[in-house]
Amino acid sequence: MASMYFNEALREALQEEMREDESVILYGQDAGIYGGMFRVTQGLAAEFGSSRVKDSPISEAAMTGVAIGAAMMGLRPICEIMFMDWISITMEQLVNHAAALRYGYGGNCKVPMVLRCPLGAYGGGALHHSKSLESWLAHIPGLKVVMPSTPSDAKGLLKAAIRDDNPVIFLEHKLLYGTSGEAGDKNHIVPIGKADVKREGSDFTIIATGKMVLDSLAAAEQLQADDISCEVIDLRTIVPLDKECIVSSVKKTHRAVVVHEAWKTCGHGAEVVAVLMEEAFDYLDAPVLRVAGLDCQIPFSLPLEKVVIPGTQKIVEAVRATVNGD
Amino acid sequence: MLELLRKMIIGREIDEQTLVQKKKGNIPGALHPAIGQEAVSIGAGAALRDSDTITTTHRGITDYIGKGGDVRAVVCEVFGRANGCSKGRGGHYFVNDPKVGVLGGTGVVGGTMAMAAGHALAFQTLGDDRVALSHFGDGAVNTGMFHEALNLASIWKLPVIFLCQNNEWALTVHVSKHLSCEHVVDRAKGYGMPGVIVDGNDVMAVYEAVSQAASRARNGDGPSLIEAKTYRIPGFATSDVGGYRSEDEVERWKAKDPITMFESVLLKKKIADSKEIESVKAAAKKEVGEAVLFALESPHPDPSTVFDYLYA
Repeated sequence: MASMYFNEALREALQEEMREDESVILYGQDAGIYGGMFRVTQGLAAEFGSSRVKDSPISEAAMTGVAIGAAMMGLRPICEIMFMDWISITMEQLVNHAAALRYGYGGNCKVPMVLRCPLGAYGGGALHHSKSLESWLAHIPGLKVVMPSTPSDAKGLLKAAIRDDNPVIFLEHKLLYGTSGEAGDKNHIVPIGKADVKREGSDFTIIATGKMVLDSLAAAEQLQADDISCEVIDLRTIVPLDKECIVSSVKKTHRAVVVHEAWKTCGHGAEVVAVLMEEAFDYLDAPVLRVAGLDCQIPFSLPLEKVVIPGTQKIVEAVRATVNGD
Repeated sequence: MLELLRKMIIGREIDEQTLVQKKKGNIPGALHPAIGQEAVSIGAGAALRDSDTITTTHRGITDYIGKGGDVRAVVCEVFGRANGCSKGRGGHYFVNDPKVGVLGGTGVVGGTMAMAAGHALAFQTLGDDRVALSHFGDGAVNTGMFHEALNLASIWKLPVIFLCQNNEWALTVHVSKHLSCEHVVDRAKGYGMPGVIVDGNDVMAVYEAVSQAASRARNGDGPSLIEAKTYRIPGFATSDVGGYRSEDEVERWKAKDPITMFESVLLKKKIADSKEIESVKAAAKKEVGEAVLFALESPHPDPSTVFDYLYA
């Protein structure tokens, strides 16, 4: 199996699903002829034509509403919001309609849509091109929130998201687009709602999402030199949360940290910690710490950005602090 | 023609009889009656096919009836019962009946305009000749969604009709105080689509305007904006305490009641005599009365089913 970039794996997922199912369409700002800001949809307009791959106006709210309506009527629309910071503009449609209408209509419709959002700090994006807002969405019943960390998971999860009958928010960290790995064939589907143990370990559990999975793996490597064996769990899906996976790991290791780039206060890591309190309290030998984005707007200056965004070193420090504290 | 009258009366009766039940304490939450606006709802629905779709608003019960929605299902929903059209999840805000293309209502002003464009995108992509119609009020035309949805529908040439029920009042603010232009359709030019004003209390005029817009959409010529000038006789909701408009104004509009006006047309054109009209009225009243009794006797949703329908 050939190695490919993360964005190529996403493109392959889109391409395969569009070839397989004529009801799959996609649109977004510059997603058509240009091929998307991060090149994910490159070539798709040429292959599938302008009736299935469209450039949309800069109208995030209407783009989302159109996806809801089209999904109700039998399409499987995929809509790209160029930077997740601007999902704020879609929130009325996402929260009050995409997430709500199947319930509000007593099950009389389905809303099988995917909203793809590049997210995360990538060096100088500043306040409006850097945010990780997944926790905001995880709060809303009716949505699913997916966040892969490898090309293989990106492809398999995007295919699963397109086939899912619910609105799925699909989050792609911008610094992952240039990472590479094997991505599986056209039958490669990763089920939504299943976390993945990216590295097995016996002393410590690091629970992470998106790009923070890579940083956690690097941290685990460093900590191995100190004889601390870390298990790294990639949640892959924030909603629904794979409680079984995290609880069973912590029952084995008795210590954990939760890592995400999203802001710390009310970040989804707090939810993970709460699950461990509720379901694994008796197995814990130390408090579960959070390594998360600092509760600050994301600054433009690189030295300042580095303070706000977590990374390998902060994860290593948190693990050591937990180990030394017990 | 008598069918149009019958549906207008059904809509009116649902509003009036549920208002009575609300006062008796049998209905939770607020109600948003559409009394006075029936000609828009029924004329529009009659101009569409069953397979066409509508989206509507928090004031959508008569829109739903106009499109052929089931009477008992919506009345039971207003009462929050398990056999309502939303299984008690949505109340009157979320009217829906997919069998006749009602998908559907919302509690957010301007919330379903892009959704109708989305229905239309599906019809266009699937290559069939269905059309979608979005009902909304004059208040909704000042949301960002109005701008985004009309612009997007226009550039993508979607088979959708935007039907503004201009009832003069956005809750307690008069249209002259909230709209930047004289008529809503003044904005149509900016979106590159036809804008037509129609007497919203004249069911046949609404029928004609929507028929023309529908045939334009079916022919692949894109969206239209229609402004039906009408009036909301009751308050914005059952919580309305009044004080923002004159009794005179309300009385002037009551004199232009769309149902009475249409009865006169039917009599004048000798399409029906007064006996036939009375019998349609009595039957409609009876049907809604029975639906109300049926709803009152219907079960509430079982608490153990609260998560049902959240995810597919």
